[in-house]
Amino acid sequence: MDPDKSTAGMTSVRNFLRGRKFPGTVRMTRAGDETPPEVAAKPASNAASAGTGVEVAASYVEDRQKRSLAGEPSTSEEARGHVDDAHLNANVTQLDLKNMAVSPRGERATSPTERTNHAREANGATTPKQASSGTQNTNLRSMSDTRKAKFKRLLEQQVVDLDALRELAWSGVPSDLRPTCWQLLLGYLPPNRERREQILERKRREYRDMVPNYYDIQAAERSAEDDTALRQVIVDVPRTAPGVPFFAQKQLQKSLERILYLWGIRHPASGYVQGINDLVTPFLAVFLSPHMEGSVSNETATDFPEEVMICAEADSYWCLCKLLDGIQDHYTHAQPGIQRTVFRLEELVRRIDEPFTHHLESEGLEFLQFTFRWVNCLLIREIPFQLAIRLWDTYLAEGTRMRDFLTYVLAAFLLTWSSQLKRMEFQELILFLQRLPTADWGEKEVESVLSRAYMWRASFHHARSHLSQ
Amino acid sequence: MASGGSVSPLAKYKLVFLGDQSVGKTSIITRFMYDKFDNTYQATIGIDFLSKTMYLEDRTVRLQLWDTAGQERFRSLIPSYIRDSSVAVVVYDVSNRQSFLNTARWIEEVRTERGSDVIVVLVGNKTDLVDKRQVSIEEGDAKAREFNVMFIETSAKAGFNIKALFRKIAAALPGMESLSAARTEDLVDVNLSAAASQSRAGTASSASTCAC
Repeated sequence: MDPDKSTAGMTSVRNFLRGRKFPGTVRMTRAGDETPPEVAAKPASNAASAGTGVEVAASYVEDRQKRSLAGEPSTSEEARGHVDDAHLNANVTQLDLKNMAVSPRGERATSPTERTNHAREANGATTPKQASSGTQNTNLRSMSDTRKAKFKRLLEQQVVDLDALRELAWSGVPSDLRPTCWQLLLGYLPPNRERREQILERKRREYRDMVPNYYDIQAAERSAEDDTALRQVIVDVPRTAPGVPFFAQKQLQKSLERILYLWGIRHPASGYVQGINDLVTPFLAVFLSPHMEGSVSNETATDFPEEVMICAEADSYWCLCKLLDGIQDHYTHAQPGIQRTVFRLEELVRRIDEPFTHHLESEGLEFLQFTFRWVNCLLIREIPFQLAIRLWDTYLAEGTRMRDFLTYVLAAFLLTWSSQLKRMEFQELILFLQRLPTADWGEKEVESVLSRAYMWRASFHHARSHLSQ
Repeated sequence: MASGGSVSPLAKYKLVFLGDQSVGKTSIITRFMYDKFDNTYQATIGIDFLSKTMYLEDRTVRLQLWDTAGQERFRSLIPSYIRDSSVAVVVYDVSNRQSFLNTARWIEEVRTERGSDVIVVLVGNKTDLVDKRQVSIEEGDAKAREFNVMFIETSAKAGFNIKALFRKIAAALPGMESLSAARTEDLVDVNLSAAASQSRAGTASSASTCAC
């Protein structure tokens, strides 16, 4: 059935990649990625000061948590435990990738999220084994309280330790602390407390000034290009996040319209690209959340005071700028950033689960056919909105490494259904992949994806050539 | 790829939907697939795939529909789908003149990729927006003649002419030549008079038949 099995698309991507210079440096691995596991398995203080990033540091999240919660430095015994753990993980990952790809939550595979859970448990009054389910619930509550206390302590610092915040935020941010945490992680808020208010005030004023200068102008004053851009935005705003009634409100839509239009005309290399509308929604929802009684999912008629709205709007605008700064080439002509991510994803999946890749190939399904939207919208459309916000915690904690980590997240996401997908033929495959059964997902499922992504990065990052063939 | 009945393999045809942002490509497909309409489809990002089996008088065909994103930025994705399709449905919004003017580019792109070895249908959608109409049925028809492609007006919202569009396409599919030309003409006449009455765009003359 060769009409179905076009390989033209992928070939063209390859040709495209071959002959092309991408804006910026294209590296298949990063300096920080080359750290061998032995080095990675050093105590957290080293990792953090070496600035090798979240990944190394995050594997010791629980170590640090234990220490700081207990108010004492980690014992050498603990540290050794982690080294063994890390080795075990690395070995297991290499030997048993396929299993893990299939199992929704590899038991042996501890990742920061799961480890953090362990840490939370370990900090409870009783060990998990002794605890009855009742006390376990209490423990969970107290654990989340301790975790929250830890966040609060960090945020109260005169100069927030961003590395520590990244480690902590990677496993999820308590909802009421999200606005501040996200703004810090994105570099919108300065880590130094004293400067924060001033900066915030300046950025918000700057945004407010943009509105009358660029947006609230007569149609005749707009260039034809800008007018087209505005029309595109106006068309997309009402159909942004249609599953979330919160965004159906006029007030929200007006904000969205201004943010997108202003972003577009201020970033002429890409302009507004469909899907960027999706990317603003977590910011607006989170920055307005302190002013809402309910959650975004059930809030439908909130009339925010104008001052509240314009501040949240300005903050969302600047945070969108920060987020997209790192992935600009996802949205420039021919979208090389997306093409490259998809290409890398395919190579990675081939490494992890070759029979799966074979199956897709034999059915004539190309990665670009189903992953394009995933990358363009950073998976936001593929999972319930609340979970997208949770996913954002980790993205933002990754910071500049987010775009690389995304490939691993995509692989983990896709291979969640590996065994099912291997039994499907072309049509079933593509229909399934376009509308994944994630409606009843909870944080557990998202964190499982993140765990596997984390693990695969840890096991692949030192194989320098694995993605550059 | 085992599919279709055990009797004879189902003939499969690929259709690619092209046209500017927000002209109603996804809506037309959704009306055809599920007979429903929603004002708030998210913008299509990249390409979406849908499939439907059509039971015609003398045979059954499976249509594989590729729904493309309308925004300029996504255009680099589209040529490979055009190359792969035997039908290109080029949609514009009758209440948006620019989207009508841009159909020329789409049709040319299809011709560049496929030459004349392709069925092209020009579709003027959103005829329900009577008061906002910017493109008359005559203009649509004239453009279709100019490019030597089929033409029909539809309203995915009102459910108008959507079935007719797909029947028209099915009748023109390769291997369907056995269908009498008269029947095809019938279909077109019905469509156009209906379109004319709905849109009050004036008289649809007999000249408004399919130009292919």
